[in-house]
Amino acid sequence: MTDLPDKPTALERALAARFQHQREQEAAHAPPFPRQELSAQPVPSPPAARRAAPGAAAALAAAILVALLFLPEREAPDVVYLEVIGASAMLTDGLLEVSAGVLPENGSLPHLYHVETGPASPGQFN
Amino acid sequence: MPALLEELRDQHQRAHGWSLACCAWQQDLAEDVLQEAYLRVLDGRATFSGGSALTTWFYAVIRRVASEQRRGAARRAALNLRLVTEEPASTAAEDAAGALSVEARADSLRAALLQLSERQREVLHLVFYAEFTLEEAAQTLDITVGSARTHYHRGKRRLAELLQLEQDDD
Repeated sequence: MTDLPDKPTALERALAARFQHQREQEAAHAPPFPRQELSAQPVPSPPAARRAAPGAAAALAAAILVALLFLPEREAPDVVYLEVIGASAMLTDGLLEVSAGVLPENGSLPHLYHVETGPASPGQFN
Repeated sequence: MPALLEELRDQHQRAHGWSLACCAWQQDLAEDVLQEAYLRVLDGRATFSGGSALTTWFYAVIRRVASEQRRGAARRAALNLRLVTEEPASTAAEDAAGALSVEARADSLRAALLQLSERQREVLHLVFYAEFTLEEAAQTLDITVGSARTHYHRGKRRLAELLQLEQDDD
């Protein structure tokens, strides 16, 4: 601790001892270093999922819009909105969550459609 | 890359401890976070530029991954709440408390640390557990050394109260 006083106080010594005990306890339960698994397994890389997710979400969004606009017995709405809630490529499961809806003109509550897909692998939906 | 892996392997147990601290000692989440941090290093999403020590850089990666995982979990919880209204929402504090094992509950240090602010907990962990300097802790947390020092002293004082240890005179 170069930028702390050279001589630790009694409190600092007591805390250091507590933390050391915790460190030893947690080290005993630490999982092994996963080098073998990391280097051997051909894991689909998250960057690929990240690249695929926006395109896949857009394709899904387009499908929803088409369905909304061409539903029988429904006039084409003036306002359609679409929200990609969570094309969250940062999540390891690549879950995609998309909402789409039609906003009516008269101020009543919008019709909402929620579609959840996933887990999505790169380039496809499941 | 082999040299980098060797160094990460040497630091593995302490990195696991840091991941636990970043995840409020939720064991499964901490292991996922650490695994994801290793993956990011290996597939190049996290690149060590050499501007800091390898350890402080890797700890920052772990912290970022943990933060993202927590945000993702919170967002999913919010979505679930919206879609399945029968299911009651739980707060982050309840989640953390629920995730603590019986063993962890018995550990007064961890219980006390959970009562500190996140920053205080992080700084104290980095200084006492990881044996970082305040400069290294500040670098890991992307804050100034002065700010790290403030969190250190306030956190130390609060922790002493919670653990009923004798206070320093400072």
